[in-house]
Amino acid sequence: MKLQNYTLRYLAITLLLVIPIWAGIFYVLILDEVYDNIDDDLKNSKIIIVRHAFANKELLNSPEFGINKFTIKPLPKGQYSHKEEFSTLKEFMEYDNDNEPIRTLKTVFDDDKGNSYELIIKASIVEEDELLEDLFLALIGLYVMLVISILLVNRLLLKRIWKSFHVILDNLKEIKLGTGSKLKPINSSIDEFIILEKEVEKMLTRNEMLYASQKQFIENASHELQTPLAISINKLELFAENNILPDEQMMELGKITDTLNRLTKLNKSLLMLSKIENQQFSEEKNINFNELVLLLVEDYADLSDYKKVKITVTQNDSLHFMINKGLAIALISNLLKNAIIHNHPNGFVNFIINKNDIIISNSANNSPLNPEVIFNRFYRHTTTNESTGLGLSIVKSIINNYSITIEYLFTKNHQFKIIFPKK
Amino acid sequence: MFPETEVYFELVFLHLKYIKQARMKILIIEDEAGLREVVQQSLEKEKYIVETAHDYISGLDKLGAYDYDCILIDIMLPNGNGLDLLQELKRQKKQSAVIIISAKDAVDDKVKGLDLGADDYLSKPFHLSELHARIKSAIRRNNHNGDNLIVYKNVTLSPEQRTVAIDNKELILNRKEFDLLYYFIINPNRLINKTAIAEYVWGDHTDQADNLDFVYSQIKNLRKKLKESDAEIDIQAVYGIGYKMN
Repeated sequence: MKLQNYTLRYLAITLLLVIPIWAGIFYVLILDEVYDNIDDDLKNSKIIIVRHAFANKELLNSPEFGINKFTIKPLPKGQYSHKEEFSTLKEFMEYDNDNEPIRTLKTVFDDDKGNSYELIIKASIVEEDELLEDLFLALIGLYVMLVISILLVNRLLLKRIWKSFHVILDNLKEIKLGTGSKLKPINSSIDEFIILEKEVEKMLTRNEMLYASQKQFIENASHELQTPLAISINKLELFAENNILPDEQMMELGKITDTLNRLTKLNKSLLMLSKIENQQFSEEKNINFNELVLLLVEDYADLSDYKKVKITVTQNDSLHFMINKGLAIALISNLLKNAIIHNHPNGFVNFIINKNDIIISNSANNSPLNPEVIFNRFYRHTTTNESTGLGLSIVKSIINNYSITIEYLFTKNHQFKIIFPKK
Repeated sequence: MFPETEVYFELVFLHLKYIKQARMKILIIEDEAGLREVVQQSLEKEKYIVETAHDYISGLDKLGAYDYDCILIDIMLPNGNGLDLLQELKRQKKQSAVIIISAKDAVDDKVKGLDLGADDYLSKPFHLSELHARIKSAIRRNNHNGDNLIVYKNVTLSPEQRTVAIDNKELILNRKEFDLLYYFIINPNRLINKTAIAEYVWGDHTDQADNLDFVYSQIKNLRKKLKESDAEIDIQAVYGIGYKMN
């Protein structure tokens, strides 16, 4: 969920809770004030009516509500409480054709002769249900308007404020170590974003340096290893030639040489990887992959015959791509070699060449490989200690250099699909 | 029989022009003492006259003072670059064959070296058999006015025509079999590591566990063909290490 929607969701939920609570309190307070007001008014009317009644004795006998909003009834002699009693009741109102609430004040007063009279004054008051209804509608309106305005503010204002943040995010997505990619400037006046940008840039520079020095180290180490390896291998070769040793010792000598040869292979593969990643294979040519595949299949014929693996090539289209020739050969031959070696007698390797992709599938005894790890350096599926575990890493770093993608699928057979970018 | 006889004959046929000076001179310019020594020993076993230089300056001295049939130059030298030595050599119009040796295996160096007139480029580490093969073909190519047939016992091999004759009767070999035989013929009596053979003939296709069996099965065919046509040479397996032709 995006940041702006995230805040909006919480604001909407909070408002949905806060507004009814506020409305409840507001309603109670308003109603209280209204009643208070009406009651004051009734009390005021009482004073005026009583004053008029003293002046105009006729008023003392008005038992019906007429145009007047009050009744005065003489009471039999006796002691009465002079307290003012308020009550709310419903009365039919012709205009509305409905019962409407009214407020009444009931009290007793004495005239100058000491006779008691009962006075009832009424006043129409607010219709609570209608008030509630109106209030409810108004609040829904308020709520919708609030949410819409927050949404708009979010959209317009926050989008502008967070623009720099999104630039930083895009920058982070684009970063590919070792390519010397530069960060786009954000031009923000917000301190936090400026700090973020600075820190990201520092981190990138630091990582670039680490990456470069790591690459440099691998390359230097591999170079430096070549000479001692050469000396060891050559001394052993000379020793094997010069000395007539018993067979078992010659065997041991052979094993040492084999191990050194393996080390040499490993070292060369590492060097190759560094060079690919340092983009030292710059010369590109338009390579016809159909010809290349056929040539390599022929090159590997001895090995495939020996392993009793049948190789077929299906050419549905011709595939050309601008790439360094050595890397094109390394790309195809690494996959081909794996397909031949990790196979079984009477198995097969199939090449299918389409306009924009090459599919290499091979029969195998083993189960699917884990596509997450097979391209990692030194990952080995089998325990054959002769493999360097770098073949597929080399494949991966070649395709990374050329925006080519590779997919691994397992449907009874292992299948690698090399997808070339469309021109 | 003198032990040199075989080598002697080989060289006689390799370079008819040089019959009188069959022992060729090679200069090694390499700063790593260990490598210098082992290469020197190996070359001296082949009856080459070997001189060495350990840095740029001593290399320059030797280059100017003597003529060599072949010079091995390491690119990275103390107080100088091997490629500059190569340039100096060409400036002095010396006819030596030159093989660049480098730990860098960089395409640029290789191209530059070959452009400057080096005959070959060998990256470290290498097999001694490979070094011998490169030296022999570099010298052979350098003396292109000679007869280029390689003769060993009753086997005659033409690297240019890619043909083989045994007692003047042609032996038909496929491409890989020819490469195999060529490698053995150019390294006679030398114990050749199976990895060196595999790399020479099949490139780096076979760095896997069954290297040994694979090379064995390929050599078996060649041996059969050699035997059927009564060649006086045979390839023997040296168990665990490789093969030897005699």
